[in-house]
Amino acid sequence: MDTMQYMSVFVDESREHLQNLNESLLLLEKEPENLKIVEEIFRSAHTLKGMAATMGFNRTTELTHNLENILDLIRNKKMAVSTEIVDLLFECLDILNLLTDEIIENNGKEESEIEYLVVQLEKMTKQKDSKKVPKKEKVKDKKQSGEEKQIQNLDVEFNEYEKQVLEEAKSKKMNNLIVNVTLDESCLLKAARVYMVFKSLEESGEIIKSLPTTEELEEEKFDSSFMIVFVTKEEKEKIQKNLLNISEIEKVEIQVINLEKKEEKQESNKKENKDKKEDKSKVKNKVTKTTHKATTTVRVDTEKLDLLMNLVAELVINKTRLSQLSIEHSLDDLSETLAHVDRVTGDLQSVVTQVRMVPIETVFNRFPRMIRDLSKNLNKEIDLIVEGKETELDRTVIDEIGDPLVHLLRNSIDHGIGTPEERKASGKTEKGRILLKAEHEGNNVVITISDNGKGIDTKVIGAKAVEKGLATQEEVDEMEKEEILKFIFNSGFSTAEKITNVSGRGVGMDVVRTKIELINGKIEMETELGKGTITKVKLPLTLAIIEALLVELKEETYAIPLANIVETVDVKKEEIKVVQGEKVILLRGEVVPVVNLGNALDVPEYEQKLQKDSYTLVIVKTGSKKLGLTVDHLIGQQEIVIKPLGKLFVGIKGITGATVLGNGEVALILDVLTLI
Amino acid sequence: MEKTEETKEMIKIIGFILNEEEYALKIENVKEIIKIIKMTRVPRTEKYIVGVINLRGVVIPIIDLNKKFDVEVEKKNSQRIIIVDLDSTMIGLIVDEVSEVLEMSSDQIFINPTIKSTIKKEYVSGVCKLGEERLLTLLNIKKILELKS
Repeated sequence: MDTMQYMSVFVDESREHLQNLNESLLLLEKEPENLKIVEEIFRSAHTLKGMAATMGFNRTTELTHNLENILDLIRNKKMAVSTEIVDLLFECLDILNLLTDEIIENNGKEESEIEYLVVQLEKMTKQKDSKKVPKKEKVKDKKQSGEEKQIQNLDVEFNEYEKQVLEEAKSKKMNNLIVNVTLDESCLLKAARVYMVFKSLEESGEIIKSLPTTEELEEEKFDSSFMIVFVTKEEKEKIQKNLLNISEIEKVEIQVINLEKKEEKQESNKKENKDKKEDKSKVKNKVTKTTHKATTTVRVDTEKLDLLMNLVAELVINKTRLSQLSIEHSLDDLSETLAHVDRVTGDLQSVVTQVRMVPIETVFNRFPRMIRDLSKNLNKEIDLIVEGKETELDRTVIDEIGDPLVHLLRNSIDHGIGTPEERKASGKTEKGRILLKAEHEGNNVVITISDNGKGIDTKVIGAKAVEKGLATQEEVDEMEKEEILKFIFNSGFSTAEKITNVSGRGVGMDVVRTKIELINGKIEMETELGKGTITKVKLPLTLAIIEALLVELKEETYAIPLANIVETVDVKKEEIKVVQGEKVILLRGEVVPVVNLGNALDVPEYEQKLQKDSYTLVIVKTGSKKLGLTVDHLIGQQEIVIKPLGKLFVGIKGITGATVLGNGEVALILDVLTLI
Repeated sequence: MEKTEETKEMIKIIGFILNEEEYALKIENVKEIIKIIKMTRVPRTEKYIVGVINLRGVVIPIIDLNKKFDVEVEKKNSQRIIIVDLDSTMIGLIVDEVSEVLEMSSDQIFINPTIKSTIKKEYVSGVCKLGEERLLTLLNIKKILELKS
């Protein structure tokens, strides 16, 4: 079978299951007695095994199979959860992850060794097995009694129509049968087996109904057995034989329906049945609900989403053009229709933007495991509290934010939280706490990482800054605490005395800052010595659309990202002073250089326009400095869709991209950082 | 379809005029031909990159081939922009006039012409000979657009 076409589905789903396993295992470590979690883990492992076996990935199959064995022991209470087991299970997950990576990279070839893990798992399984054999028999007994119950339960309720059909069949001397089929536990394609059973039966008679319903059977929403009510001229022994010929079928039981008895029973048991039924339907509802959730999503290539976004943007632009036409030609009818089109496209735009949104959960999910491993490594005790993981961000932002957050969390664990002894000595709880929180704030998402650790000593930072020649002692003495803290973001700045493999090589924080600024984000830090540190990362909701101020220079239009703008001011001609050959203005005591934007951008035959003897200045910040840009005219604030300029313009200073305006023309987006 | 043997050797080209000389591009590079529309100048770039346009939501840089070849030509109404697709990057080329789509067999194209051309040799990938008189210079669009090292 050519399974390669299912590769991406397999990989995606494996990842999901592995993530689920990771999470559940972390939970299990906290609540070793909770068998529900074991059940969850078992299910994920089982599905993973099934998928890998179908795809022919033997190592994954073998490892998950052994995992399953051990989990089976745990869930049957034949083995207690110990740290030893959890560690081993975690190790297995890592290898499974690795195997999945290899499957992607090497076109389906698994390379990692699993032998040593399998041996360990088997050893563990055997150890416990030999000890507690008698219990197992007990379970077997239970299983048998359970089966008996099933046989007794072969009664099926019929509605009027079905009863009529059965009675009619009986009068024609046909057999009314209830067929109970049990599939092999290892059966992978249950729906296919169901289909074969149905087909075999339909060859010799008529199927009246099935329990669960045919749809549910097709969607594999059943355990391992199902019932079919069947009308046939054949003898039941023959039917049974036919069915048993189908592979992966464990058992076939057939009963003849006794209609009269049934009715009596139904009468007397009506009440009871009703109660039962309600219970059942409740359970059923629950089941269908959960499975429903899983099937209502569709995986879409992100490229297609980008394309969709592009098309919607194009639609919006053309709509604006249409409205302009209707105004020019004063077509009232058209305007009304356009107002409607306007609403629809507006909705469309917001829906498309939403579609690209991904909950930050996808990034946060890997942190609990990371914190667990790191704190174990460093002999620290840390509680990670995650809040707001449902907060949504554009996929492009999500892709970029993972690494910076890892850095920040590592810093908190390594430098922030002390060892239990240290913490006890300073009167704190032995267990440290890290809060990771995401929340909306206007058009931004703010991610906060706060720890109740040692905090950062600004004196040490200041001294280090002087030592590195970043500032003089006098400068540092005059600085506010917050300003000194900013030195942390300079490259090669690390104050950790001991270099660990966790953090402290001094490449961390400046990389973090650069990465965050690259996606138009901001990072801020607050600290209090002895109490802890709070780091806030402010991110735009999306990278594709930004708020910008449109300005005019002669006939050209430029967009300045609002994130870079401090304010806009009108200044009188005489307020612009020349200091050392450079034009500056005094803005509330601060000296701000003034740049003639038209000249800086080589606008042809440009001459600065004056509005009633004053210049319009856009004050922007470039790093820590401010800059005043002269413009002819402010057009207004607008949401713009960023479009790349392409290969031909790589490395142009002062321009980051382009956007399409309402009239279909292109406006360039200024990059104030590289402008001058 | 039925004459695969023959069609294999046939090459389709788009002929156009630059500074009163005939040039050509292979048709597989050409996406479409549009009229001159308003362009947005991009500062701090080469002179021959005259700006960018919006073509159905995609921002496309426009190159004036005359300027690229250092020729001064007056603007005419017949000017067109040929949109080419190079390794999935779209670029527009301004030419004085688009003449026609021609089909010719590969033996009508001479790869290393000895005739003198007005533009740099590396920009030329061959010369198409049509009849006794007509010669079209087949441009090597990749070389022309290659970014300076």
